[in-house]
Amino acid sequence: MALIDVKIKEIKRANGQTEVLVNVYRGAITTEDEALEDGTTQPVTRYRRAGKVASKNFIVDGEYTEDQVHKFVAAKVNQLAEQLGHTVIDKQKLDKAQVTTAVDVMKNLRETTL
Amino acid sequence: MNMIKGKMNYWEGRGKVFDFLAPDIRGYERVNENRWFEMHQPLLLKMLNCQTGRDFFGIAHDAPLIIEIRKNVIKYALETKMTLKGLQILKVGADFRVGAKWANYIRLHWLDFIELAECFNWQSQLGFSGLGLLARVKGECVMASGRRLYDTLTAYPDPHPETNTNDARVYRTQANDTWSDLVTGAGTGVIEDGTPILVNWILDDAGTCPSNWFGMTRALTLFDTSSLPDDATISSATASIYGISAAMDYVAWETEFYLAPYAVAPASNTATVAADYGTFGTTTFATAKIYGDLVLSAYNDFTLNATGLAAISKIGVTKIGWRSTADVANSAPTCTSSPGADKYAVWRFGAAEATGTTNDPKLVVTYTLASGDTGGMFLVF
Repeated sequence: MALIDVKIKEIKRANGQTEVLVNVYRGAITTEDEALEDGTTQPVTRYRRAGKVASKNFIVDGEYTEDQVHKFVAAKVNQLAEQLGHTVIDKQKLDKAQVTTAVDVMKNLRETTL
Repeated sequence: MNMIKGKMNYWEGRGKVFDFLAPDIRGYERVNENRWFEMHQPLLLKMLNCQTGRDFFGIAHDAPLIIEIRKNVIKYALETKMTLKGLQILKVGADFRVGAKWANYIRLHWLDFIELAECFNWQSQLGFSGLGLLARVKGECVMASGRRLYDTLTAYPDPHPETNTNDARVYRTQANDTWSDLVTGAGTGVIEDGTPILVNWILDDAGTCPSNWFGMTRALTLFDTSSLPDDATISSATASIYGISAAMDYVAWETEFYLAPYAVAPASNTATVAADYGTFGTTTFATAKIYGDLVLSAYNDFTLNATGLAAISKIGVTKIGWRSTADVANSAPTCTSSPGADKYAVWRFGAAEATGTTNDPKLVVTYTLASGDTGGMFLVF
């Protein structure tokens, strides 16, 4: 099962609204050799993206802080993962109550898949 | 109905104190007009749909129901039908004016407007008198401003696989280099999908000063800022990098390692190459931070100066390079011959390649918009 990760591309606050553009990626945690500046390589275990699953645009009334936006986006990606049958990477995993709380913060949300 | 959801306008005195007792709009530019009308729409509609309010605004008593007012337009419900769900609007008419007629009118009759508005028992967090007082204290025009707001754009680089932007580190490693060789020599490698990003210099384990330098790394962070409006006036911007870890093998280097943002001109916005090492600028975009002032597990904010602000692209990608000031000045840090092991000065910061966005490099741009008034017309739709 692919692990999905969400990255915010931009947050725009204008005219009393917050617009968030995010990219959702699928990937896996793997160990691969990575080059270092001294010419050597060493094995590094980390999340690696295989491709993009979706791009989404959220527009919500109100001007939200970055922290609020990050929590909200994490909640949305948890919802999306459930819909797609993917697993959210641990760092972004939330329980259902956290998802509900974070999404509830953003009233009057409009969402578009790009 | 949300025709106002476009660009914000502003009223700003540019240092001129607005005199509410003798309002004079000359010399002011617009600050957040649309936002003001949006915020106060319920109150304004109450006023516009009663005789006293219409007298104030100079609108005929028998004009149709007004359903929206903006700085230069009033919308009427020309045909309505009462249904079980309430009043249904069948036909809408709009009276568009050249210039911000309604914003200008309210501003020029500000004190009367406040008095009348308070008769409508309108309550807000501050109330109109409060807003007026606030405006006087700040020397800014409230109408049509409400409170002064700026727009902001926060941008992050793309992770791998990149779409529009990139972040990466490019380096030169070469045995027996002088410091000048490191600074002016060609890049020998790039790591564009690694994490974290870093800026460093490396002293070789063997050799004699000044020819025992081994490596230097510069970093670049690219941000897609094309969504900035073409008519945006950028008032400030901050480039931020999240401290991950750092090391200084010599205490002396702690006072010699300064980090700052500079211009960079990579050949591609998404595929960094070793040759990009030679495309870093030397005019700083912000005040450099000394090693001891660079924080870990938090963002390090660099407020861009005029050169940095001028480098922000409204149509494409804003490119910021990171290097040490010793690199820029081509001034060698303290050198030790034959230290016995490679010695590092390194400062690592979060890369877009990491999961999530909370530690990614970011660029926050604050801007205002110019006025967008257009011609006048009357539409029925």
